[in-house]
Amino acid sequence: MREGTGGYGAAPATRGAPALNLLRDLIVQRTGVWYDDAKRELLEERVGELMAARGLPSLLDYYYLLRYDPDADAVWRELMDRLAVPETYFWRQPEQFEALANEVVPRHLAAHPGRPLRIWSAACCSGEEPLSIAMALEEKGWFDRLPIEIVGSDASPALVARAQAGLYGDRSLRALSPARRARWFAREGERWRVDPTLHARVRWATANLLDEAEAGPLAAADVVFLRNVLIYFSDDAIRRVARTLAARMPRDGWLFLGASESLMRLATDFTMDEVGSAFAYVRKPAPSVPAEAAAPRLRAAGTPRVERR
Amino acid sequence: MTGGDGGDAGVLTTDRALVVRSWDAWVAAATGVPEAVALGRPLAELFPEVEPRGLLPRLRRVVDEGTVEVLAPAFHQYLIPCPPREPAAHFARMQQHVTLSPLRAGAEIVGVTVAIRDVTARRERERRVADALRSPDEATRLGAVEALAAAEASADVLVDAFDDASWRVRQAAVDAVGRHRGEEVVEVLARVLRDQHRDLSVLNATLSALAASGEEVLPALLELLASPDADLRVYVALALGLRGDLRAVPALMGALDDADANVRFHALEALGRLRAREAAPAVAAVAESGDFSLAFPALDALAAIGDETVTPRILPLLDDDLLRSAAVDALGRLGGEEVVAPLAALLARGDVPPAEPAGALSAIHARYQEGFGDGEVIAALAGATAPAEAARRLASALAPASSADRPALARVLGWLAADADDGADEALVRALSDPGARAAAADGLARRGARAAEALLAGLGALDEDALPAAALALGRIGAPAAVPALLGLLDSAPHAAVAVAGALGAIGDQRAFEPLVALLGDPQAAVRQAAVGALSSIGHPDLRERVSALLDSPIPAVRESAARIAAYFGYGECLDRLLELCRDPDDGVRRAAVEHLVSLDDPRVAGVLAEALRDGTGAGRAAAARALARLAPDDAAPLLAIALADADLWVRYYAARSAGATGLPSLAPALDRAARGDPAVPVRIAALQALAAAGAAEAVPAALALAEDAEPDVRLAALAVLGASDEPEALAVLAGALRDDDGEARRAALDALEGCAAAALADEVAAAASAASRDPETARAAAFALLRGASATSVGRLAALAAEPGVREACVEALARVPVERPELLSGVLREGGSAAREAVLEAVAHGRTAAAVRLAAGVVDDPSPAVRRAAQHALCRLDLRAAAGRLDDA
Repeated sequence: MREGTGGYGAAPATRGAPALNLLRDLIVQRTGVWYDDAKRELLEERVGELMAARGLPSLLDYYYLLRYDPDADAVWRELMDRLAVPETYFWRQPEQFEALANEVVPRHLAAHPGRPLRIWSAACCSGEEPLSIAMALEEKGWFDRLPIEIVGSDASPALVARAQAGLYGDRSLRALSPARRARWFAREGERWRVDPTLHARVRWATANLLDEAEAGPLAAADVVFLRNVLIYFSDDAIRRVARTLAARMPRDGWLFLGASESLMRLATDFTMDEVGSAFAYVRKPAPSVPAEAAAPRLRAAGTPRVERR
Repeated sequence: MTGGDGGDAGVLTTDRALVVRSWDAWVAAATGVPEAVALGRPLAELFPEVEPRGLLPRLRRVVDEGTVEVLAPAFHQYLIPCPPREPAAHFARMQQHVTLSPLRAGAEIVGVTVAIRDVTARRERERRVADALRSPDEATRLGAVEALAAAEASADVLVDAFDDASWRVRQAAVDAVGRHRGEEVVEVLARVLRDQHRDLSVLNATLSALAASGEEVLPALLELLASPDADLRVYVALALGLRGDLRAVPALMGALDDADANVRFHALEALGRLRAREAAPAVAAVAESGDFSLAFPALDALAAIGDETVTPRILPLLDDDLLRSAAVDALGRLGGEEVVAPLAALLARGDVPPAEPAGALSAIHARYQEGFGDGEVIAALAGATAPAEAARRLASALAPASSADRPALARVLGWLAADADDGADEALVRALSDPGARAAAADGLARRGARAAEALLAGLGALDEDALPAAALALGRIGAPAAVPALLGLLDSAPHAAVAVAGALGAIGDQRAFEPLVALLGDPQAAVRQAAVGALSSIGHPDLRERVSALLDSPIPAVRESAARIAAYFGYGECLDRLLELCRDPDDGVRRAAVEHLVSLDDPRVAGVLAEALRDGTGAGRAAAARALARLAPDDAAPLLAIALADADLWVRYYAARSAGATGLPSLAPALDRAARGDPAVPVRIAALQALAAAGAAEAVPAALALAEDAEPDVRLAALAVLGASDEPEALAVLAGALRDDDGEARRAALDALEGCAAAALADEVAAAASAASRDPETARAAAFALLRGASATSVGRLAALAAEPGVREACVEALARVPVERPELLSGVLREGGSAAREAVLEAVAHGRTAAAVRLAAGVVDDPSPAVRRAAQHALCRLDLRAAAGRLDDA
């Protein structure tokens, strides 16, 4: 029997295994992450390991499991862990942390005295980013001057668990100055443990950016860091995330993206602005569609004037 | 003034001399001219401005040619001048939408019917909204454009936003104009292009709108191509290319002789964008002309056009220092076997960056491999013809190369003959650390064999950990026993590479790997255990039987599981009793493995064990039993499958349906039919339907017809796949409907589903779907291959004819190349009776043939009346000759 989109039998004309295409499309719908043709083998390899663990004989069966099993959430979490690209480190793109500490926080304090500053690190991986945020704010003494909530979340439960553990390898600390490393970390065997007080500044959560129920409440933050994740997303997924953020963030909220990322080529509710020596996105002002005002009562040519008496 | 009847439209008629013959009350009221005054008088006499405004020719055309003309208010504002019926701030005259249609008496045109609709109010509303386009606030201007677009405002209002300072506003206006319907948009855009092309924002927006418009813009653009303004001709050429309308090709070919070099430049670009094959010889002449400024765009255009027969004309340009890079690039995109040797020769030249010819060769290889599965032809030819110095130069270039260039360099280096001193192996080993070049480097090392293994082993310690799996795979492919100690070391030092290492050890087959692989049988990762099982099965150590027998009693469940798999695979009879016991093992994984693989052993107790397993407490255990039933004797399997099809767990039912499909038992058809139509789980419905089809059950097509409208997309796709194999009229009707579906995915699904008789029967519908999808490569490809599967003279003829459309051609040629060698009459029929574009496409496909029959087909048309076909035949023979010289042509 020929393998059509059913997946059993001889292959049709589509390039690449049909079942892998189905799986790839499902992954981008659910997670936003797009595995282009150059990454097909990588995807197949990673999924293959999960299939072997479950004793599944074919990619199609794995697709059906993800799509139709009543307990698919657990399978998805396992897949997210396996697909996670944990490449991050402390103090990555420091100008954004400096802009946060030197510009954004003072503005928030001035505009909203007494209101907590909510910061969301939306794809925090193993925690380096929200902890870097905490470092920047701590070093400026901001935690003593206003209430600050920092939430670090990731779609991969395994990465969140690593963040919660607070232990890091040398590669994660490579961009830190010796002084900063000495201040915030202590050697523990082959690894480094982050200062517990700093670590406690961050609340950890698991959240899929494309799941409105998971991401929505977190998106109601004054500052969102969403760095180096949109590069893996399809355009449609980026729009969806941008809509969630625009719907939940306050009007004067700030959105920081990675250096190689941009929202400018897509129609979203954000526009770029400069803050300190960094660039970030702010909500666009609401458009005012011109109402059809009553037309001025002009005399039509040829209409006789009515003399008032 | 008031309207006569209160409505907003009126009608007048004239005779052939444009003398008024009827004048309704509305027209009388709107114009203030009573009927008695108007009747019998020429329209131009009643309203003298009609003539100087150039409107009389439009009326005369209606009389003389019987056309229907529309005078859009955006361009003409009105036909008959009269004041607005309501006060209007923006218009002194009533704005009119006028339709001029022939007035007939029988077959004869006796005059003109003029229908006038007052659109002043609408135009006034548009203008009020459009006033906001002057707001200093971007959001306001954007909102105005969006409001105008939503109200389907006239094009002339929207184009006012083409010079907006904000790209968002301009883009919104372009999108709206592009969607606009009505001839007026053509006139408006042509006027803007003519009058405002020096404003770059307006120009860019206008060109974008012209490219996107669904209206007939070609005549207006062709008229502008004759403008005395050279700048305008440039932009028109650009617009013609963006439009994608092949009817512009003759005019663009004429523009290759334009007096202005910029116009010639843009004509070249446009012809490339249009993929105009008929222009290829003329464009090649430009490339050969020695005009440096035009040769580059000419080469680029040739590559975009994709006519392979011009490659002999590009080859001499490899000797031109200025044009060489562009020629190499073009040959990489166009060429085949005939350009491999000249490109390979460049690899050894000191004045040529090796990345350039390597990139071209790699591109040709990729095109051959992905399109036709014969990339090896290119690799072998490059390896055979590259000069001796090439490997050394490529090896030296590899490390400092950019990440974009490195994969091609590694790939080509791997093709070249191994030499002790060229440094190639070492360079490829280092390239393993580049993720982008890793696969090519590993492949190259494997091709170079034992000498490469030495270099790989020497460099193993310096590799990134991410590169180790690729290194292991390469060593496995090379198969050198000398690699075994190093691979065994990786099992300890690089556990993440264990799967690759186990695979390599299995491929090498060295007995020294036996114990370390046995140690992996208990690895926590299933993928590693499976790789170890596979490797041990390959190695076939004399102690395996005894060890496996003992391991079946291991206290570690993972080990028992692995041992069970091996014992069943080899059919160790002495292990049978123990395997039967393991079917009741307390560990779920062990039980599953034993149950699933026990069936490989031919023993009468197996059926009973599987029956018991179908009562396992876990769904996974019962699912394993259901999978195993596929290999049980059908008579034993049937009652057990019936039980499994009714299991509470969807995966048990699913695998039961799969197994039922494998057994093809007719007795299960009713149960499968019920499952297909009514199971609550989608995978079960799909599997049951496919099982019915696999068994050839009478229930299959009726069930598929019922499921073709299922709410679940996957079910619909599966239903279409079943129907695609049927030639029953009802099935064909559903498929034909799906081929016309507005949803592209539904069309593709239907195309993918078509087989044999169904594909042949629906050849016309498939061809129509392909034509409609010329800008959708996936659908085009699906259609081409559906026609191939039709395997009839009609379907293959349609396939070849489709190749005339540039957007579908590539897929058509790839499909034609797959016409079975046993059916040469399908291609010879096209060569005999098809159009020239179809014959060209067949010859391009034949050039990828592997038999002498391909040579005969091409030789049969070297005297074709069409020059393009003769060129294609000669080109095909050239390639087939090279293939024969390399010993890659069969005598069939």
